[in-house]
Amino acid sequence: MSAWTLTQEGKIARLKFDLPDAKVNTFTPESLQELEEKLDQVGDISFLLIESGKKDSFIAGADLKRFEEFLKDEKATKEIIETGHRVFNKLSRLPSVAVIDGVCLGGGLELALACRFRIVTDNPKVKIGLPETSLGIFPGWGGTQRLPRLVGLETGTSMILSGKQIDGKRALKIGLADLALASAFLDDDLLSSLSKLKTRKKRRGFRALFLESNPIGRKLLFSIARKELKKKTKGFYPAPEIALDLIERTATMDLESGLKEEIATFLRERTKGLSLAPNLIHLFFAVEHLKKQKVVSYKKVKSLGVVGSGLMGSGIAWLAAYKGLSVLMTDINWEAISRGFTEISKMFQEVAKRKRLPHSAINLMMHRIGTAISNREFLQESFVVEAATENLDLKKVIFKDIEETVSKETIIASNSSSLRLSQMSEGMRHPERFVGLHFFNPVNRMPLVEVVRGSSTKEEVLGTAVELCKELGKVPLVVNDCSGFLVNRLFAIQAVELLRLYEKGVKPEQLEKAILSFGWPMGPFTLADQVGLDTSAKVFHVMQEAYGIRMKAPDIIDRLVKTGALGKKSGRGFFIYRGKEKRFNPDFLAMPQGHESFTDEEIIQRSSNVMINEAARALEEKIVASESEVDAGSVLGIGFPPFRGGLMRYAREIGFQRVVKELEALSSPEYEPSDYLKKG
Amino acid sequence: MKRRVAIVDGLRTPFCKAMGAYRHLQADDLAASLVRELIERLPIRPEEYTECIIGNVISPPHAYNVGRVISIKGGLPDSVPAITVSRNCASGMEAVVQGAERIERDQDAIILAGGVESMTHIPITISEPARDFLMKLSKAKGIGELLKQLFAFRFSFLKPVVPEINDPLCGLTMGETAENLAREYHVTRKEQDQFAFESQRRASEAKKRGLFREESIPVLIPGKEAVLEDDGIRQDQTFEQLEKLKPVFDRFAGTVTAGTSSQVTDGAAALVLMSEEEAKRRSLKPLAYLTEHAEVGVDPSRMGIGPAFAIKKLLKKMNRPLSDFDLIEINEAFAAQVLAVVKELSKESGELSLEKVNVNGGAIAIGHPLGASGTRLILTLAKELKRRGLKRGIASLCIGGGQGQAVAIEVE
Repeated sequence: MSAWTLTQEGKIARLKFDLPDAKVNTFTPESLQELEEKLDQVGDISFLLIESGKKDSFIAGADLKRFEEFLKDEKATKEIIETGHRVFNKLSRLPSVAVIDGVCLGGGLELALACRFRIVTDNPKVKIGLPETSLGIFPGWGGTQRLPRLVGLETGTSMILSGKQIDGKRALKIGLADLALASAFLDDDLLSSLSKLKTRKKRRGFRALFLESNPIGRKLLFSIARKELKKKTKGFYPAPEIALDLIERTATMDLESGLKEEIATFLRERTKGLSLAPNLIHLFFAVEHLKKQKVVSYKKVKSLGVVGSGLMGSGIAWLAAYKGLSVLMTDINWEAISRGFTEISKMFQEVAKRKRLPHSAINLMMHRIGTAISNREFLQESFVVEAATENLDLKKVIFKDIEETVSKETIIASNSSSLRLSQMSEGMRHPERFVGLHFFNPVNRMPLVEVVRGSSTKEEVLGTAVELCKELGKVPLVVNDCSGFLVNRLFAIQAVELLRLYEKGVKPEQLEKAILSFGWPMGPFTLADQVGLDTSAKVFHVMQEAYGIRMKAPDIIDRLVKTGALGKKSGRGFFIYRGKEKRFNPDFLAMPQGHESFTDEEIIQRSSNVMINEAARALEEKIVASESEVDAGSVLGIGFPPFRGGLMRYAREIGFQRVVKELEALSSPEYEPSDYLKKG
Repeated sequence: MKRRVAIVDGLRTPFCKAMGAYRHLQADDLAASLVRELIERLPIRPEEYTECIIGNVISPPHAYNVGRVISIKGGLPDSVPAITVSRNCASGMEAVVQGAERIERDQDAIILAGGVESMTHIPITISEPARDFLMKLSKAKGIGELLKQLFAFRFSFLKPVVPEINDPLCGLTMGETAENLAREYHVTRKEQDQFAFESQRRASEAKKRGLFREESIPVLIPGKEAVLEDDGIRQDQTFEQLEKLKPVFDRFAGTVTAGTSSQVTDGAAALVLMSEEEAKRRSLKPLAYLTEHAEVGVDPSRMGIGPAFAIKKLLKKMNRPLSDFDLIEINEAFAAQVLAVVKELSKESGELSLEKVNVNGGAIAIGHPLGASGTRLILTLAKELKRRGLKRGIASLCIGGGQGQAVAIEVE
């Protein structure tokens, strides 16, 4: 079947891309080759329109799954990169016009850039960008050359390094697009507007004159870009750095030499700087898999009840209101509700600033939230989330209260981060409508939600919870019932191990440093302070009770909590906070330590191994369905370094056998390797 | 409605572009001279009126309940109560509908109902910090405190707060809501230009024939010439001029231009209502009868489609097909919006011919003073039905915020 159809009427040829049996157009070697054949057939024309047969999508880029395969092989990589360049060069010699009425990413944009003109529409689905560097590669079909040459070095470089996607309006403004049309009238206006396409004289402002048109300005531009990039990647992600070097090297070359240099760089770096690509692509698919998971059945939630207006409750209420749901948030008194309401308002101010929303939009969203000081008022809400403090007896009272008044169809969920569903639902009349919905703190930043299936949770209830997460823009990870579910088991066991290492004699500075050097976003003590030591202590108790010796934490945190050090919120935790400065809490440093010493590698090894072992147990117990789900959960839930592809992928890379051997070497019951690891 | 209500007579002022002829006339002053003229022309003693209902959107800050101010300034005695009503762009129709309902239920005998808007006088306010500053300054006691307060002055206090023109419910300008409808109902730029051209042509024709003079009073302005006619109608409008205009609301890929939008205008209109029996008893020959009304809510971001659903509801209430009606007025907020309404109505009732719609042009040519338009449409429609010897008509408006309102009238 053919993906490209070439038609011609008068002097206008139209080449339509419609990949068979696919939702979006992507480049495969076959579709790329077919494009080349079609381009060779084009005769004497005044315009060649490149269009898409897919609604809301122009070209989504290269087929990632296929591309990942090519990357493994030098010859295959060379072949695909060179073919792309050859085809796009042919395109650039024709009077070609890309008609972008939808998603235009990666290779799709590189094709559009090779065209002589680009038309964009007001279709809200128009998203234009080069996401390659976030996947561990860089645009290799001319993107690093043609984009900066078209829109300017500064804008082009920033688009390539950040992978940021822009809409049609912005594309027109920065000169990426030559003309804008209304999507709804595209068929009416397209042909008659072609006469308006003219090669525009490049008009660059004063800023460009200063930063781009002279060697000193360029030096400054690239050095700022490099500094900002380093701050973001902390040196763990070489792909954008390679792209930046490449752009700088080729900035003053003619296009042809620049393109050649792009090919050479890509092939040279394939096994070096671009070697993280498989991990990042794997992670991309692991997360996509969760985002796009299908449920058996579900009901649409329009109105959400939230019990508790604390950190989590107000966060969930904010999110739901922001995403268009109406919300009823409750707490035990108006003081607490008022505090939660203020927090919600702050979150709205923050998002308004970031997304440049007008005050009136925020005002409308705030009005979606109602409040009450009784849990018997959830009459309109079809889904109620409990987000009270981690206290089993209290939760049971709340559920009893809710069940008194809500309809039979109302779903009840708990945001508990560690308590088992089976414990919480003990007194419930209808445990089949009960589900876990574990949001992470802070709700407005953390993308993951653990959706917990209890032993009696109905399929539709689970499905509704999953769909609700998607609606709220979160990534749902379905797990089965156990204490701490997946993410907190991993979090807790690593923390326990690090505290044990402290107890044995490792200085906290070294622990922080070692953990950061692995690529974790923050050190363990910084993290614990942010979560809150009181909260962490509660989680540890639950975990220890449930899992015994392997989760037995030294009582350091309990002792700190007793001194009133509750973490960052109280100004004192493992650290003492003064304004922007922090230093270790002397109460903590005064705690007794042994005299053993460990290298950074040993610290990383031990803390990773216990996590891998715990994840393997969770897999064995069928708490979580697959290793790839653990990968997504570990990255999104606790910040496992994305470039390592996720916890289990990392484990596979270093080898299960090695992990088993290292655990066995510790010869202690808490390090007993799981069967899952032993079986390999 | 169980009984029809008589529209005894009605009048309006000429509609003039905002910041133009009426730039020094406040809404209450504009409407008051109209009310005085209307009372003068009818054989009804001022004290016989039982209520005055005025539609108005931009409440003048100096005259809360502007209806009462208009009523007294216009010559109705203190004893006649007055109220101001707002249904945004349909306020002038809402005033008539409320009056008719009260008469139908025998709660009132004679009602003066109308609407007014001075789009010129959109209130421009000061910011909250500036307000606090002025409040504290006015309360300062003694020279020391006064000086201290004066030092709190910031230049930013001088920056005026211009009212939001975007709809508070969907965040869009009215023009953007029209763009939405243009896309949804596939109303092309060319169709819009053609419609706007036709509106100007029909209005010019009507003006030339003196039809609007029949329904208008002259407005006197000290030191200036009397205003005798609408000033927005472009006698020499060409299609090419319209074609050349750039989109104003969506400059990126839009279709709606200033030429295909209603004009921002000042104006007032008023009717006198009473029961049919009362009219007979007084041997009055009513201009028309209001037979039914309907209101609907729609998506605020598609507010312009409101009339289509209001008319559908009206027809259902009356159990009549659209074809029973000889003339239709659909307020021309935007050409795109009227054409979308026509397309929506044509879905069920068969093709609605533009020959029946806005036969003397509409707000694109004449202007759209929010509170006054609803009343004017009823007045203009009634006069034209009579002129042509036809029987039934519908007047309707789209309403910012997502509503539609329609009334059915008949003449004998």
